[in-house]
Amino acid sequence: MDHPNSPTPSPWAILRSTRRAIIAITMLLSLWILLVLSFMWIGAWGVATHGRWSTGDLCFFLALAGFVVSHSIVGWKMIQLVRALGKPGMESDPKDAATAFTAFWKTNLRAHAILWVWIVLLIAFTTLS
Amino acid sequence: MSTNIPSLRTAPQAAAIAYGARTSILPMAWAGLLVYAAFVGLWLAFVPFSLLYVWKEPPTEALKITTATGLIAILPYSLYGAWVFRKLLRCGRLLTPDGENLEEALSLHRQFWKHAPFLSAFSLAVVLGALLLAGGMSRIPKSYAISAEATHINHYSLGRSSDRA
Repeated sequence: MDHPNSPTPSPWAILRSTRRAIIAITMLLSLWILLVLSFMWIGAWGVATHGRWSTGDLCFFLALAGFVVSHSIVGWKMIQLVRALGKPGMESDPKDAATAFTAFWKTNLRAHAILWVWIVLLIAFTTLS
Repeated sequence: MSTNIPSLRTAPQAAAIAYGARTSILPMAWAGLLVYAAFVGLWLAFVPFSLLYVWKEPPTEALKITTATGLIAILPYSLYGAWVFRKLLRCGRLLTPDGENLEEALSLHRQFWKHAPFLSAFSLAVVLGALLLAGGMSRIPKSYAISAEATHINHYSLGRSSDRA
């Protein structure tokens, strides 16, 4: 481990310098969520005004809802990571940042795994019904 | 070694905590890498297919737009995505319980996050472009039909294979 006064940056200083990029991706993630939410509203409005809900429409709607829920949870974990990286004295006591780092990646994997299982189940249900 | 310096006391514990992310980072990195590698494979398959289609059928405006978009946007996007996720894969592999390569791992993690916004913005542009393209293409048969009806042009002369069946 590097001494805090060593010229080379410590691993935790490197992690801290990632903060701005994580903020940028969090903002882009919220744009994605807004885009998908607008698709959901446009789709729901179209179905409501021009016809009835078919099984396919409902499954597509639920898949988009799954995307919104999973990415909102990932976004929340990203915000927690950003907050942990921004704490004063993080580099001298990096336990909280390391915990937030691990929690983010675990949640990210779980959310994506659940989302894809959900989408595959919806496709299977639509195909079989 | 003195344990009065907080970083010397907590850093090994923090490295051990960060190691817990390895089992989550590696599957995510492999999934991203495989998705973008599949895009590269699809692009490689798309080029001969589109050339074959152009050879067999007269190129329509829609085909020209699709081919141009595919050739220009998809390959650099896919290669960039694979390159970015390779960084995450290397980061995951370097995470160890003792934090021996933590500096290099977190440096690669930083590089991944530095490129991730560009990749996400690129993905957003590709999705919006594909939606606009799909919207434009869905209007083409209708406009052809209207123009054919108005000008009494035979559908066969417009090169639409769907009308030949």
